Amino acid sequence: MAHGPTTASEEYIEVAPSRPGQEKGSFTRIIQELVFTVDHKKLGLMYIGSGLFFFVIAGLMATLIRIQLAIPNNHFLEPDVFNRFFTMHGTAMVFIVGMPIIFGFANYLVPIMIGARDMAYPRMNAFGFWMFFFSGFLLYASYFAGPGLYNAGSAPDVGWFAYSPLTSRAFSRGHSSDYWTLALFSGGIGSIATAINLIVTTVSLRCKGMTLGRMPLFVWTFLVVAFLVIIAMPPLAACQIMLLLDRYLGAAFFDTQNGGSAILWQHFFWIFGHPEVYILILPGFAIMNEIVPVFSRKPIFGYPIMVAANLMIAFISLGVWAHHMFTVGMSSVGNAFFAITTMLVAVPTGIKIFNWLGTMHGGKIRMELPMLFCIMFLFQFLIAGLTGIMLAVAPFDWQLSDSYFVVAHFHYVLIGGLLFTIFAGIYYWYPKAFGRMLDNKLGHLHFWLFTIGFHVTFFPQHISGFLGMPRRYYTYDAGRGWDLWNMISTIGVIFQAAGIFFFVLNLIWSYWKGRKAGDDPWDAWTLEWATTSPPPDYNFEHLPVVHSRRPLWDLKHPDDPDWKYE
Amino acid sequence: MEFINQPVPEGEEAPWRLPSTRKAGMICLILTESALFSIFVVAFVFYMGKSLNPPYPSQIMEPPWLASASLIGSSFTIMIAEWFLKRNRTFGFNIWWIITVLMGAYFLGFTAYEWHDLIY
Amino acid sequence: MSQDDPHAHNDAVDLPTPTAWPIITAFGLTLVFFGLVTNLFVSLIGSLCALVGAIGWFTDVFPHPKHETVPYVPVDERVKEICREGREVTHLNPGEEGHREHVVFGAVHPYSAGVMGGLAGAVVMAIVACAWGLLAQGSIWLPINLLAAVGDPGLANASMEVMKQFSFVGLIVAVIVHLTTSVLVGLLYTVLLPMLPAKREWIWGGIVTPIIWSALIWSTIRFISPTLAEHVNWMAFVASQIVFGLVCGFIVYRSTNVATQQTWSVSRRLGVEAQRPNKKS
Repeated sequence: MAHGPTTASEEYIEVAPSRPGQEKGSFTRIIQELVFTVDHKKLGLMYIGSGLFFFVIAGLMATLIRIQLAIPNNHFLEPDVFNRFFTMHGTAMVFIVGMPIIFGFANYLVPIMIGARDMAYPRMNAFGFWMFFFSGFLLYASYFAGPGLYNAGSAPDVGWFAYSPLTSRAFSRGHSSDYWTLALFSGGIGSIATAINLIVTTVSLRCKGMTLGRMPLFVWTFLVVAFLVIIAMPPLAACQIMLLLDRYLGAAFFDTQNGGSAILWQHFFWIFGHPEVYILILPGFAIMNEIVPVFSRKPIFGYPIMVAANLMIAFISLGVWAHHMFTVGMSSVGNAFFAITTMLVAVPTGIKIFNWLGTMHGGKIRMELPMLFCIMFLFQFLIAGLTGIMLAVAPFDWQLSDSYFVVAHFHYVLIGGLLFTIFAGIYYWYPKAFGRMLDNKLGHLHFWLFTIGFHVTFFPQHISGFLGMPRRYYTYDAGRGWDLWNMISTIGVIFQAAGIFFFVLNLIWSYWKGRKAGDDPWDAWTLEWATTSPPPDYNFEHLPVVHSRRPLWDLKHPDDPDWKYE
Repeated sequence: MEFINQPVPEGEEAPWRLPSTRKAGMICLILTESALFSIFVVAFVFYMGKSLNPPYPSQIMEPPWLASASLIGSSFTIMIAEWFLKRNRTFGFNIWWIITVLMGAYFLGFTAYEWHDLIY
Repeated sequence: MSQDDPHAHNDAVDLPTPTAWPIITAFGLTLVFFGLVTNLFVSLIGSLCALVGAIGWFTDVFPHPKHETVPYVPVDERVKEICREGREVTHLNPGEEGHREHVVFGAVHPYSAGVMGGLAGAVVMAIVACAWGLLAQGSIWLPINLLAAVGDPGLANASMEVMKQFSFVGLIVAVIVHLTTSVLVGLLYTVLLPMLPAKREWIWGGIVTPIIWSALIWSTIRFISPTLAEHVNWMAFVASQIVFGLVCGFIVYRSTNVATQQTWSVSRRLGVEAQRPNKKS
């Protein structure tokens, strides 16, 4: 809490009481603030921070997986350890890395961008964060707790989508799958709480003049994301409940031995799972929508169409889930339907890519670090989209389903798409959050090492996929043509790890030594730059009033405000 | 930041109204719940009439008329309670509120009994 | 200001009181789940913890959510004035130096011309093809059945004798394939032809394009319809394509140009501020 000298003389002001352990600058104070806080900015940073923490752990697992696969007939890891690693890597990256980081961005930025002082339900916001935080530890506790103490780890080993019948009690002894189920279930409660909070904040707390048509596209996109979360996460929770009933109360929803259907699990999981992909990638678009115009010095091209594209993506994404299941033997009508809907997603996504290009076209582009990451996003996401369209063709998918081609495809989406924009967002908003710029040299090292490492790692996986290498194999024989590509792939990890090292170093170093940022280092136009860096607890002394999509442009150019043209 | 003294377009002086947070939050919560239960309903419909071996559901289960009635009825009693609350008549509110709580408790208890009875 | 902002006083603002109840509730709930996989006593403790948290939380928000008043930060730590000096907006006018000029795209043919041209081309093309069948092969049905073989496996595997006989299914399939393709190519002409060099247009539309796609068909036909590839006479084939191109191209060229969105200005088309109007008036 801020304890600056106040100029107020009115008696009715009761200053926030100081609490024991809150001596300024002490360690206990920091801990106490983190535990007690209901402030959206602190929670946002806690989301991102803990997401990055889990990111490093899951990234180390991926490194070990790549070392195992570097050469044929390798026995660096035990087979069951390998299974646990790829399961935990996937689950962690999606549920306790991707989700919290995007929620962190939303938490920090949405209220400031719409000119509010906090979220609609600040306590529920804290609750959502802590649910996620503890669910992450619940997931990792599987390594240590229960039977793990006696037989050295029993982490889930059924893959991140936990296909039935792998999860039935006959094939998954002990509690490893239950840790997966329960961690996702409790984390889901937190996600839903946060999503509801986001929607209500956006709908009900906008500052004066912030109509839906003037909301920053970032906020629009997160409104859509939050909507997808409340539509898609509950089905996952329902799946988890049914799975627990199967395992412990003798139900047979997914147990084929007793008249259940394993395919039903796949349907239910992907009804959640595909919207989840868009929950993860739409925030990437949201960050693009903010950074590209600012660094091109032009307003975003085609604002209404961007909003419409968001809504279209959300709508279509609810009807494409079975493209993960072309190989289970659906009817040809089903295959055709899901192939067509999947290809339809390319339309709004293409619109977005062209609109970003349209924004950059003719603009005065500043090649700062956030923009570099965004430009790489355009290339990589395009590749990801094209391989996605290839996989949408059912006969093509029959050849390459569950091969490394698919692995390459979704890593291009989630790393080349999401992670790059997350980096862009961190470089862009770090000055706002901490008042200091991230170091440019370290940033460039991070950018080049990570970009090169990413392509060296994942591009060869397209090829090994074409050559028939299935995903999740523990090891492989020499002489199948996969050796070279796997070796290259593993070498790329070294570059990525070095990049991440410089990134983390930069985050820590710049916190103390970075150049002072000032209120508005990028000369941007949205409301978060209309307050100090870092913003005070209450965000704005006076709630802003906006008249256009770029309120700060109006303030900076009073002779030629934007609202004349909107 | 001088948000107040900037030139303002015509016709922007209309009062600024937004939906209440309570309504928006409740609608979201209902959406979430319906998404959750739609999966259960789909699973139920998918498995209707697919039991492999007896006892079949029709032989051992009866429609829980009373529990259903109390569940659905409780949404009406809470509405009446709210009506009293809005008029500051606490006694009426308390009566109807307690009736709602009792009906809900009966439904929950019956559900628990049903589960216990069917499993053991 | 105060009417709009009920939480703000003169030099301070109400913010929600920091509270630990959410973390206690969340921790309790997680313990409940954790107990399911370890020991039910853990669940018991967890549910107690969650209950305490929930009740504490309730007291925090009932009857009114708790607030505390936070004073503003000192004036010198507040947000700086926005710098308006030296900020001038220069407007971008259409066609100005350094930016792409928007060239109005004049010749756009209506789609109806494409459909008509495609149908007319289809008729003359069919006449040429049937004439080849009659004169060179002695059967008017041969070219029709060859075309139909693309969609009728029965015909695809038939002998030459059968191919020369009349086949009702073959006729229907061939007509459908022929008309759809012709109309689609006609539509393509309406879009394509304005992009080709304006002089000697009949050479482009009537001869060059048919030869290009004949080459394309020649290289791919054995994948699409092996039967046709086996029996087709390329001279006659190219002749019929050229006849189609000449007729279709002629009809499309004759059509009047129409105004489309393409001829509008960029900003009018998008309805957004792509380029700002000049305010000299």
